[in-house]
Amino acid sequence: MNKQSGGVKPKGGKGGAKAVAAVRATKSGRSTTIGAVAVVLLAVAVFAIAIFYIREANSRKDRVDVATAIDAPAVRDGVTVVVGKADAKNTVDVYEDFLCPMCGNFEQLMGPKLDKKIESGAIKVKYHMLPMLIRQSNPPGYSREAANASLCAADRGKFPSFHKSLFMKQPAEGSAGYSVDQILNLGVDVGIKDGDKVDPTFESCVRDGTYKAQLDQYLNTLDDNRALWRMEGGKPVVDAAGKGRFRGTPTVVVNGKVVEIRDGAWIDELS
Amino acid sequence: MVSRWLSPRVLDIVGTVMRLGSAAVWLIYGVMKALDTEKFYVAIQGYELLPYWMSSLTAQILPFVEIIMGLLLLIGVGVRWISALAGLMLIAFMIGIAQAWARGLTIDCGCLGGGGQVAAEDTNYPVELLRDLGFLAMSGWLIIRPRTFFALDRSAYEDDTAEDETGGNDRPDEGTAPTAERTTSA
Repeated sequence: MNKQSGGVKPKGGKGGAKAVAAVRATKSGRSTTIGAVAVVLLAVAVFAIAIFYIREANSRKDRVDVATAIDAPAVRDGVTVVVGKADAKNTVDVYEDFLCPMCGNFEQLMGPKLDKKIESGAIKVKYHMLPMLIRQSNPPGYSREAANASLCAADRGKFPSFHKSLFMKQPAEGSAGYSVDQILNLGVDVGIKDGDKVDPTFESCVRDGTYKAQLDQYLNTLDDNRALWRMEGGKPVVDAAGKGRFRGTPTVVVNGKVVEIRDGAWIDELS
Repeated sequence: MVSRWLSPRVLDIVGTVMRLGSAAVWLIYGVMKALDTEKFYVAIQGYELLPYWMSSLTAQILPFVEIIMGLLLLIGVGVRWISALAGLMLIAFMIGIAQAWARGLTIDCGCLGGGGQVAAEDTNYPVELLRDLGFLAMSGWLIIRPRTFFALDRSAYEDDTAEDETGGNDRPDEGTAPTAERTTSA
């Protein structure tokens, strides 16, 4: 049967639609797509660069700001440091980690009050600087590095200002934390020096990590201390074997009892 | 005969919703992570799964990969491929969450007084898994049927679908290439 038709005519139905699609995909459609993808990648690159510059990064060369602390006797006892008069009436144990943001808050808010009570002889404070958040710095290890250095500083009689300085300008979780050089320079700036340079005993204590092993060991034993177990609804949270875990930082213990530090009342009552 | 409710138009609309929804998800989560890669690093470390250098690399690169995925989905380029990548990522995330749940991992710091922290963390896991499962379903739809409206790659999927564009009239297949019918009347 003959059909009357003039010229080339694409078939209708499925074949026709496919033809249109084929043309679209190969010509202007493809270059639009490539252009669009290029714009997307460019926009994201610009965004990434902008973020990189906007965020204040610790340049790892800046010196840590010095925060001067009270002048009180500070003596190292194992891996803890006791600040205040030995005959003070109340003992306050403070468990902290130099990278822990809540500990930074605690020190910034309560530090001055603690200092006043230390000076008045109402309390002595035992600082337990823990190498707990070692995995939360990038690269890992700042918590342990700083804890060790603070004990080295205690041996040179400069714990209070060293400790306070590291908290007043606390590095962010997930950042690198302060480098060994920055830590050594902080030592110099708080007065641990030999002439103009850093005291060599302090330097080797820091670089050798003299107290690191003891600190790690001490942290491990904390899970055995029932008084410091994480609580929920007044009861300790225990696993299948009946074992609890250290409640984390910051933890404050007054005369042997853990206190709730969310409100500041606990400190006012001490005299 | 295809029922009215499952017409290509309706399925395209559903696909469009899936695509734009997925785009929003990747863009929002990607930007949030990009603005604080340090916090993201800490979060990844919390799963205790990767060595730290992998956590570090992931924290810095993944947010931007997610943003690119979101933008490409938004403009509708490579919808099937992006959705396949998204599906793989979501499965990886769900495995990470499931193993954290199974191992009873908790966060060590920032718990003033402990209290409800542990319980809260535990009950988040199922919610997070369900959420990711939902996103996975959306990606799954787009892998199977990537054709959507307002997409640059719409034409690429024209021959994927069984229905044709002229709206439901089934005609016998007349061939896959345009052929010229040139006949002359005798």
